[in-house]
Amino acid sequence: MLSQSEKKFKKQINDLLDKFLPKNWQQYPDERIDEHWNLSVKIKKELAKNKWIAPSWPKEYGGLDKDISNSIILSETFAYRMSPGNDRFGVRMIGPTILKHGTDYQKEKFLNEITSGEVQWCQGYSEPNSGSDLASIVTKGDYNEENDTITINGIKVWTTLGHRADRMFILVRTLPDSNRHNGLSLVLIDMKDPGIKINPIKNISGSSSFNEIVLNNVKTSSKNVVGKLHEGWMVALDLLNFERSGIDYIGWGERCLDDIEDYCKKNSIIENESIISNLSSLRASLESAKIMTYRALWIKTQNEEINMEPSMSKILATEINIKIHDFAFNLLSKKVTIMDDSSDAFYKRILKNRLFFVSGGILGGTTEIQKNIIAQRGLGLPR
Amino acid sequence: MINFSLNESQIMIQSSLEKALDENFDIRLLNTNAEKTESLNHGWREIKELGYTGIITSEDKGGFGLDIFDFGLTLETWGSKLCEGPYIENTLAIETLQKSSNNFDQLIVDLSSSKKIITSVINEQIIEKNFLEITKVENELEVKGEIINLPYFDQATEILCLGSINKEIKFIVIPKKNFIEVSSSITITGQKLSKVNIKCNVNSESIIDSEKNLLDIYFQLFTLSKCFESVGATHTIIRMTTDYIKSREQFNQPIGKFQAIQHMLTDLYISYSEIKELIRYVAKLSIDDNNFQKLVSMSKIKCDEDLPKVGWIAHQLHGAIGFTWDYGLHLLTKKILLNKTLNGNSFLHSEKIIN
Repeated sequence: MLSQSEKKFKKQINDLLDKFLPKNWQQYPDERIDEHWNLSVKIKKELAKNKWIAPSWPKEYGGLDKDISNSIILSETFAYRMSPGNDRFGVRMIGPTILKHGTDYQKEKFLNEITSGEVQWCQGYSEPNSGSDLASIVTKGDYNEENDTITINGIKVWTTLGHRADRMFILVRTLPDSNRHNGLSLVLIDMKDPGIKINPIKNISGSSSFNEIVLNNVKTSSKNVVGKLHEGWMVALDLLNFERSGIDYIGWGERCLDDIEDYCKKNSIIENESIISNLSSLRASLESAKIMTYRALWIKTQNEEINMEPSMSKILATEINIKIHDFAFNLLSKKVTIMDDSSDAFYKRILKNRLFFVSGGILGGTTEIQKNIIAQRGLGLPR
Repeated sequence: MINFSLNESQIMIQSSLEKALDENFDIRLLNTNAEKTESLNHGWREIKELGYTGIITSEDKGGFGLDIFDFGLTLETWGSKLCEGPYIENTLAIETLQKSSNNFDQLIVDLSSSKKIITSVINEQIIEKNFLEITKVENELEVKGEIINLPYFDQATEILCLGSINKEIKFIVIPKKNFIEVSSSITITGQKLSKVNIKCNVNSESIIDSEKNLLDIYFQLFTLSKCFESVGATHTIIRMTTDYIKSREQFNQPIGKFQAIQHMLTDLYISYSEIKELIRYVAKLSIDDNNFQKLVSMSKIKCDEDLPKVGWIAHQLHGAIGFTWDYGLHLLTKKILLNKTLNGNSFLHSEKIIN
């Protein structure tokens, strides 16, 4: 149901990616790897030239004032092409949060930085002892009224792209002796601060896309607090709603399903009843999950209260992506376990991606946390 | 590309029907009648009173001039109250007649005002390849054959059927009086299905001609309509289950407080929501859209695969009370199961998606 202008925009994005991505590119974008990161930098610069990094943002902050559908097309196409350069943390998380809760200074400075394509953000939420229970964080942000400075000490974990990032949005406890949801602030910090130490963490697929970040007397000004000081919990939750939608998983899932359908056609097994039945069932679930992600993203633009839509779409998108990869794994069997150069890039990618996608049901709030949100905030069940 | 909101008129159409149906909706009363295997026609009177028989009829013929999406919204409500009656058959017959190149204006007006009622079992005729035999005899058409599993025969004044004429399959409208009911059966939801025979001559203008492929369009729209109905029934399952687990207390607390129960209900709600949004999205597309047929088949597959599971898990969440006849939850599950058996199985629709 794309309009002519949307079709044109999609083609423009694909043309841009054709220009930068090597032929037959089919690696999950892992910007820890220098080749991927260099591609990401070049692609973001090119996007920025056309003001395509955040097309639905206001023109004054480097956007095009376009409908949310352009942003969806951008994210979905990048995921389908497995291209680096799709800025989740800046464009989809802290950007919309600053647009909603930020000061004029923050909008002017940080949003324009994001749409320039030159600044990478990362997220500082989870801590070694605070995962699903985010309100239990202990990283301190001591506020000194005299010099208007916040001094941050603590450890954040699972920080994707922490090693590449220029800035971090971090949730810290600014009110001493506060507990749970009270006394927290969402603060923006510079990753070049000498008090920051970054330790990579290797994941089960063998890459190190995330990190442990140790913060030792990291300083920032109170003008970098998003929302009110000590009242950052709701702002932090809003950011999570912006994070969740699952649109990338739809793109990755669709690419895998298209490739596996092509494989079945080339190998003359497409007429097999079981294959037809599995492919069509996956296709139907992918389509409905896709519509749910569109809806979740659309709702965010409607100034309506968001309670469970992003949670539902995240569950659906991550689960269908895994089902598709599991089907591909079953079909291709031993072929996907060979990781040396004798194996086709398509086979190699299936198992590696499947391993990586274990993270889909964990990051941004586990599937179980999403279900708690749906049950309690959406369906009104007792806590 | 994206607009998931309902406009004021759509909200009004849905709420008017909901209000009208709520006055008489009592699942326990329906339950009693199901036990007696009586077909109630619950909701059909309200549809006629509200004038919704003309929901997609053009305004110049006295209808509302609305589209398939609007019709679908009413079907969600219709399904949620377990309504019975030839609402879908009558409406899609009007849609077919409106696309005809010959003139059925008076019949459209009569059907829209419920002066006449039409029923059919078109999709099952297509799947079973069971077509009436039509032969030209001078200025008339000789029609003979048998139709099985025809719903709402008692209420109808006309029958829309498919016949084979010179090896071509055509829609034909025949007054009910020309049919003889040979036998009947009762479905799991208490609906009566008739086996009817015909052997008579009818006016040659009874055949519906069109430049469009009316058969495919009808097949898809009827399939989609039944998906809406099933989603409506699922909505009531979710509502009943949510109310139950909020109020049912065990271990001195509502069972809805247990995470295991919450997550089961959440799974049901997600299934319901994604299918509802999928079919609404499809209904907004033009029937000429390249993806329309595939998306209808996807909707059908999703309904068949996921909605019965919603029913079964809802029974589990209710515990023993959900296993009883008197509680009435089974009526909704049975409606979904019955609809699953209509309009082709998953393999038929899988082929439409992959090919």
